[in-house]
Amino acid sequence: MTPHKSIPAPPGAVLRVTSRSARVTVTGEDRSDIVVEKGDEPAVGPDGVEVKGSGRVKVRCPAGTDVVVGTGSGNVELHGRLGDARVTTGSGTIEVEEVRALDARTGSGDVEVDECTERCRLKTESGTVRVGRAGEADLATGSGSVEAELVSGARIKTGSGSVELGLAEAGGVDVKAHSGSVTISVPPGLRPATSLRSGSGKVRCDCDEGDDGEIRVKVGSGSIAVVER
Amino acid sequence: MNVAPGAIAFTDVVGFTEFTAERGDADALAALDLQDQIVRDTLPPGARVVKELGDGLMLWFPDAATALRTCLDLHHRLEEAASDTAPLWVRMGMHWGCPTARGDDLIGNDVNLAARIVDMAGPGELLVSEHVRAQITSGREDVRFEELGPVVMKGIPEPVGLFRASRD
Repeated sequence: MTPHKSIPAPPGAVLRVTSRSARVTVTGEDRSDIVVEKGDEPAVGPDGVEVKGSGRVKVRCPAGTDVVVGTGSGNVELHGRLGDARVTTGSGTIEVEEVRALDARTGSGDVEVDECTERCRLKTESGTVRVGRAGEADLATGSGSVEAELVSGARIKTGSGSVELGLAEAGGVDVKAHSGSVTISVPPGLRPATSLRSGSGKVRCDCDEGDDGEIRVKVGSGSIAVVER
Repeated sequence: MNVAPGAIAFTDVVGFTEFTAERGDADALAALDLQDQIVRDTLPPGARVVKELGDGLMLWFPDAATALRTCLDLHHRLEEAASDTAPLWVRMGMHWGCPTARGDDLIGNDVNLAARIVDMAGPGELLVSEHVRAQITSGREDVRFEELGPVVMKGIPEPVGLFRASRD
């Protein structure tokens, strides 16, 4: 068994993991060091702690650590609690458990985020996007569906794919889709300003018009529904 | 060899295939014509459209600061011009380097890299390489650069630092 490589985590250091084709797992947990279970020796540089590897990279770090992960074609998993996270992969899936803020991009994989307390920016060309809870969500897919259970606001663009969005409070929502149905659920009693336009589909809004935030939806073809939870 | 140091930018209309399938060729053509017009009206002296690539364009600028400012302006104008018949969800990628001229065309590793960068951008975004950012020594005040980190891109040997550039 390969021995783990460990270094004390420099205060405030960003953990940077890069690999050409590895599956990458980073776990934020209650600890004070950075441990590389699989991958090369960690190196402390001017931009933080760098870890490289191929095939498989597994790193454990203190909870709340900011992380940057770049891989060419592997899946990326962020477990535990992490800080600001930036993830890019050419063609892998991205799974995130809990982060403060997130920018995650993949060419052709799904993106799944359980919780992101602040801004959550996700992009995939041909995969689906699923978000549990997030602050402001900025979501883009080329041809995949979007599902966001509870967000405080959202900007969504999708070429073709359904959108299901839960709004946690009065906020701004802007959804644009060439084709696909859009369903937005809002808290009971919310009276948002709405602009709902579909080129060829039914439009339904259960809410009274008001000024509790603004919901704008524009769909080429597909139904639009704004419903109370 | 005739090298042309400068900023190389690629644009791409996101969801254009879906839009064309949905709305037909006439609307697709109108959207591209509108994009062409806006781009040509916005390009400053010295910059040029190198070539058209389906729904995308390859642009060249003699200096990075002008390139950055112009592309951010382009996003603003394209967004303003977007309509039901021309939903211009454009994304852009930019790199600074020394491409080689081949007639009116430009080729080389720096061109290939710029083309890869746009693939990482979402609709309405401008992503730039660390080389572009390093070229801009002044006039950064109104531009926000958010680091995406070292990004591994297909066919590019080393990870490249990318930034999301936006107006503050």
